[in-house]
Amino acid sequence: MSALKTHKSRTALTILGIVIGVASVILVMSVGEGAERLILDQVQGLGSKTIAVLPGRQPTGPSDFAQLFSDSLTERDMQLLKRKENAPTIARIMPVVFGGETAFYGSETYRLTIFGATDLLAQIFDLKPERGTFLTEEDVRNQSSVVIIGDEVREKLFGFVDPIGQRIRVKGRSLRVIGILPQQGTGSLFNFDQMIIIPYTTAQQYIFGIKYFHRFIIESESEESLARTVKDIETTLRNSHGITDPDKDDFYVETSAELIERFGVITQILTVLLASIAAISLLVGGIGIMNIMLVSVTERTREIGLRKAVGATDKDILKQFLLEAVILTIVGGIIGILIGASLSFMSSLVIKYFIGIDWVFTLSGTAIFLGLSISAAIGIVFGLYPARQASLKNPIEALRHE
Amino acid sequence: MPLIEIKDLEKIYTTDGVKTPALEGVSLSIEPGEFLAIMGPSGSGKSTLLHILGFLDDYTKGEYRLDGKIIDNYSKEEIAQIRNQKMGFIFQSFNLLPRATVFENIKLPLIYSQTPEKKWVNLVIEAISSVGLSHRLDYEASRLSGGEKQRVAIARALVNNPQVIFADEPTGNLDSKSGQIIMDIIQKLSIDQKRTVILVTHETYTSEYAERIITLKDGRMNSDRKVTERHIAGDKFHK
Repeated sequence: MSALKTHKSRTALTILGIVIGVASVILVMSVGEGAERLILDQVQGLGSKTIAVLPGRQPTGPSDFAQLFSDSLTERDMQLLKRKENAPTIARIMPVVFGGETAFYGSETYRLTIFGATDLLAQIFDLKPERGTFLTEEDVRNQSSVVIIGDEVREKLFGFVDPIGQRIRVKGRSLRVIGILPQQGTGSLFNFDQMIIIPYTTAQQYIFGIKYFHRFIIESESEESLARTVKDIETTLRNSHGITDPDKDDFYVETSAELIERFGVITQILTVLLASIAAISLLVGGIGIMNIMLVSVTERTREIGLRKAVGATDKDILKQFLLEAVILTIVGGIIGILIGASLSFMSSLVIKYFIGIDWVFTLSGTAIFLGLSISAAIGIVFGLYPARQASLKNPIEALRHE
Repeated sequence: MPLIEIKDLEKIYTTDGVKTPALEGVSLSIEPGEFLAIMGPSGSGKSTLLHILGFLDDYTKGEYRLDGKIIDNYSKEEIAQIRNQKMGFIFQSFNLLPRATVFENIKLPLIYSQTPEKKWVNLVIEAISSVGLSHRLDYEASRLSGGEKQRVAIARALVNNPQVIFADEPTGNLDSKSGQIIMDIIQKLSIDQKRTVILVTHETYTSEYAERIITLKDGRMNSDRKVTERHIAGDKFHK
């Protein structure tokens, strides 16, 4: 230990690699967990009774995403699903069409997302217009040209003008603003701030010119009936589409539990990926440790010889140098955890106050444990070779060393 | 039974395939409590012999019995343990840990012993008192004078109460006055404490503190004689 203290600046520089590595691992893990928690909260907000039916095949690889916009979900499917004899446990069903378009008001233009749905949207996503009203069943039935606008749409197109009753133009169609949604913040999974909501009938007929749907959002009667509902949906749609082999489904059903899982997996993969990149600096740090330990072993050859002369076994010497390496890396690890934790805390503040996402600072025991064990492991792995070199020295040659 | 018994000991160094003999057919036995000096010019193999006797180096051929047991039969751990328990080493260049205190330096062999930690402080104090340096216990070793350093090294050699003391040119780096103090202490280890002392030196005067002197020449035993006019500690006779 005295040797570590003797070369203070050398020791400090050596552990810097470990400090940076552990700090970045902690930062990445903390931010990753924060993101995961944020997304999961959002998805869970949907409720566990919610089911989404999507066209195409369940994506298993990047090429499958092309299928997302297949036209397999039709009006007929919806009518079949609405029949109680087909799917008795469906409480409500909402078709959805969406797409990007440019909206015009006066001289202002804004690129936004059109969300074509029904009056049920308000209940499923818990939406309440800040001012004005929401869609009604009549609006849907009559293909009314009415629109509810998100907060950012309002700001960009209208500024200080009161939008209620004003008309915006999308794809040549004039839509009357009947409601304004409150600001939701960028943290929302379904961010309606940059969207406009219109009856799906209007969207199909006048905006997109399509007869199919991009989604069905379905609510089951209860959580218990969820599995039954999913089964009924699959059976009904397969019958409707004349599919016998489930592997050839041209649609897929996703429950919010699956959605949670999928998002969870995505954020975890991202976290692991970023953490692995951070781990490279740990590797570099480890090589630094090995280098400095080798130098230290050479410098202290006489000391090793002396210790052996007074009765140290090879194992004692090995232990001593290994311990020094591990102490070095653990000290580096602790400093790294402190720095990483403060950085993630600061970034959580930045995200909260400057981006406006309701971000919770998380620092899990796992991350701390991982940081400590990684640094200890690096000490052992990269300290072993120098320590072994030290332990194998012949005492008398070591004592003669200048 | 002799404490140490060697027969036809050979040590050959091999560097790049070239064999250089350091010891050739050395036989010797040392009784417990004996004070033996090994003399000879540099390159005569005297240090090599001391290192082999002290388990610090291995030999090429021959036989070495310690307490009647052939040392080939000891495991590496046992050898380390014997070095720790039975042997004390004093080197020409002291070999103290320069940044450590006197206390820490003397404590070093205890770290590798079975002695319970609570006894360490007393053992260190006992050892430092026997070389008369109790007042330097907290000093950093690098701040001591040469003579003091060697006295600390002797205390370190004594802390485990060893049977044999090996001293390799202990006065080689010291002025004559400090050298004499060191030799007085070493002789007391033999006379007062009945320890076996094996001393390597090239100075005739120093060697005459011992009771028996062997001389080596070119790796072979040259002479083996009793000292008739021995220097005794406290002698005012200076070289």
